[in-house]
Amino acid sequence: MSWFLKRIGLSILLVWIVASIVFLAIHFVPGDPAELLLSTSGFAPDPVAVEELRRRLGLDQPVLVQYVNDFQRLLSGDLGRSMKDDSPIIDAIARRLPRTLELIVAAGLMGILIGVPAGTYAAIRRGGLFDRVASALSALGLAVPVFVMGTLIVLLFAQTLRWVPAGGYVAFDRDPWQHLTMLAMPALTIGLHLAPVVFRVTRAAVLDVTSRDYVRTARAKGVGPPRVLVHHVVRNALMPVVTVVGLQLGGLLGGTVLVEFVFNWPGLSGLLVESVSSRDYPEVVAIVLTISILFVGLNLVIDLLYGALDPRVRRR
Amino acid sequence: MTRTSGFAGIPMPFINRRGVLLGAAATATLLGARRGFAQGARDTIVMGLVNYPPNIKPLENTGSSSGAVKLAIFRGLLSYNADGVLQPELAERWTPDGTTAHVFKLRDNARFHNGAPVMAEDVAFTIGLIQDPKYTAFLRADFQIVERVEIVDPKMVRIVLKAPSAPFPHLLASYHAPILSKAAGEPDAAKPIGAGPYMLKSMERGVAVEVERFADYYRPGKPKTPRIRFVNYPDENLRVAALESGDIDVTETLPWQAMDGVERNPRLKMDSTVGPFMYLTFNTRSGPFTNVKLRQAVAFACKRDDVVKAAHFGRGRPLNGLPYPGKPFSETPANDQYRHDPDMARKLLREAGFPNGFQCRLLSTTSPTLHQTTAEVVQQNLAEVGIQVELALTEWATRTTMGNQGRYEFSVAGTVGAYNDPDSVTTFIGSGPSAYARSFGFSSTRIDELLTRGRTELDEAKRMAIYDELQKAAFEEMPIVGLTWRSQAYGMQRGLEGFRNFPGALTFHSPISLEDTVKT
Repeated sequence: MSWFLKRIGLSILLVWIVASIVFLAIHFVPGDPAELLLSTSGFAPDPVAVEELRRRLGLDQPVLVQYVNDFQRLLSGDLGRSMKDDSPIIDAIARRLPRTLELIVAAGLMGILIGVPAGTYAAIRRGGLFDRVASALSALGLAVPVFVMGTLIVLLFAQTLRWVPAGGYVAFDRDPWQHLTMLAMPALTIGLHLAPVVFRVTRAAVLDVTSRDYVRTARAKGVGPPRVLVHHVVRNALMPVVTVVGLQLGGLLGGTVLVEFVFNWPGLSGLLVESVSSRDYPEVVAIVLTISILFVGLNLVIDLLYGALDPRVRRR
Repeated sequence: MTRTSGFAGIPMPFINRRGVLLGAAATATLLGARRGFAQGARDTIVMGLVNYPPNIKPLENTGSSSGAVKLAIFRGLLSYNADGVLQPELAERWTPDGTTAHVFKLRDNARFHNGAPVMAEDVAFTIGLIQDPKYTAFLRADFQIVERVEIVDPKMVRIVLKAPSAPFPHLLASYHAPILSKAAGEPDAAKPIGAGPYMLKSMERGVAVEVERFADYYRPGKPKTPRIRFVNYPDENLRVAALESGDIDVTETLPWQAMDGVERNPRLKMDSTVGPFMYLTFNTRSGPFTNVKLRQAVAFACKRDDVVKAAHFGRGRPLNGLPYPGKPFSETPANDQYRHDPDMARKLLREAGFPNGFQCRLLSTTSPTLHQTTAEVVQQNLAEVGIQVELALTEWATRTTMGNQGRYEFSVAGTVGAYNDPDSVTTFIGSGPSAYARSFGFSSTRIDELLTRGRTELDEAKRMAIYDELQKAAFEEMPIVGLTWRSQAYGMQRGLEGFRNFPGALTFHSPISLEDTVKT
């Protein structure tokens, strides 16, 4: 029991450390939220107004006092309000997080739908034309940065063919079809970046599995080729694929910034960038806190599951 | 061993060339069937913005994107027509009363979105809010010139100033000084109540703001289009792509690199004006540029045509003096003080005791990109006369703080004057608290006196003489070094009619014309 408690305690400590580091970092970087808000247009803001706004936002207090106040508030479960428009930050996160998750899931699906069949086919036709072309393409896909890929996709589908809007967001309940069309391009961009990874892992895994004894046995006892492929080869080859995809998707949680920017997809990463550049202190801390809780929480669940399943882990 | 088709002889009917082509064709048909939805409905104008408005506080300046939304919702006592000429707005008549007072007769049919008519007491209430530090109004300091607001009758006000002021009417036309409803109380950024052609319908934070027609707007038949959707496109390339693909009808701040493409595109058009400008500010309290001769040397060393070419893609022109916006002041011969003259620059360096040049750091920002490009050109130009420049490039927030605190030697700045009157240079060269838009530590009684004389003189010929003298003073003391005027354009669909780019410094007032805009 104490092992479980220790794990949970460590996780909470980790989240607190991350949030504190971010709080201090954003406060010590030059840039003042009040000044920035009142001088968006390149004008010199009225210093009296800046002082008044700083006072209202609590920025005239010493950083340590702000730290204690902010973390007391966070402990009571209140993420605070945005310095820009005084709106509750929890609302912004609740609106934006699902959009980023949706994008990640859609991109993951696309990566799998492209990568797994292509990887399998390349493996079973190893050395063939498809294998060579697909391997070359996958190297290209990995090498091209997402923002270049994104821009090319916009150029082709939105500007040249005019099939889809160039980017943006429409809520699903407002227009489901338009929502999905707008999701398609950013998801495809990340998906095309993910697919080569999936392709390579699948190809290697399938090659590995096809030489296993149980595949030979299955074939020897007369199982039909399609059944061998699906049930014995691909199913076993998927384990490493799932692991890799899982890792990649986890990393995307705070890493969809460029794609969100290029396609104007209003997700959580975009909000984080925007709050950093406007020095919206409470918003930055709240978003990083949310992302780290998700990360640490996910790891904690896996740790606890391992511990529950395998008592040896607890003794380590 | 011979190669067999498929793994272990498995036929793979699902992946072949024909299958892929068929799939692609099917996808194309499916997507193609939806073609045209991007063009949108006739009753809604979609406008692309550079940022999502941080808030819609009527009296604060939170940038041109917020300004566009504010101009849809609010109206002031005065405004500008599309030629940039002052016109009565909520006021039906406006007459100067002596040299220090203005009388405004309000329109009978002007109403706020809460149904209340626009009354004299609303004008007094609004000016009170602007003057009160609590409301962090952008024009608070400027409005200190108002001594009192007299309510002559329920529909007439008399604004009495402490001193004559030539630019005062421009303050009343600013979109940072709209008239607010006293009955509605303190302005609420979430539920803005103005007397403009549109009412706020919805705000989707970070995505879009929608406004819809206010039925009791005082101009009959306006606004012509029932709805406007302002959509945020932080990436300028995507904003252009959205214009080209027909997702948006009009965009503010068309990037310079996209202007050629928009002009060539038969589906699009653009309307541009030369209004904003680029300049250099200096730290006049410490470092090399405390020496005025070195500031002058920089002024002669900069090749402004290069900046126009590199940073504005040829869309602009050199600024050889103070940034006086608009005719006739910008056209005076005195406003041509320095041109590219490396010999003159070297001579000034020798006089200052730096015959072999010196080393210094130039502060600029990486976004917007044109600030960085400008810095790079200046670096090259100065190297030609022996001044070795090291670039300090930071993001915008860091750059503003470093500028405000004087943590720089000289820096690249870019902005637009508040109105088409030379008094607008006060922000950049007058004494005042330190701010990144002006040179750190610079203060000159001579320049301040000329600025005050120019502001309080109402006769245009006399004002021109004063502003000529100011140019000379500015050359001798060099508070800032002008670089370029840059073009500012709105890109739009060819079929969009009625939207006009207002001239010069008024370019960000252009969204006033949204009330006249229709899709044909």
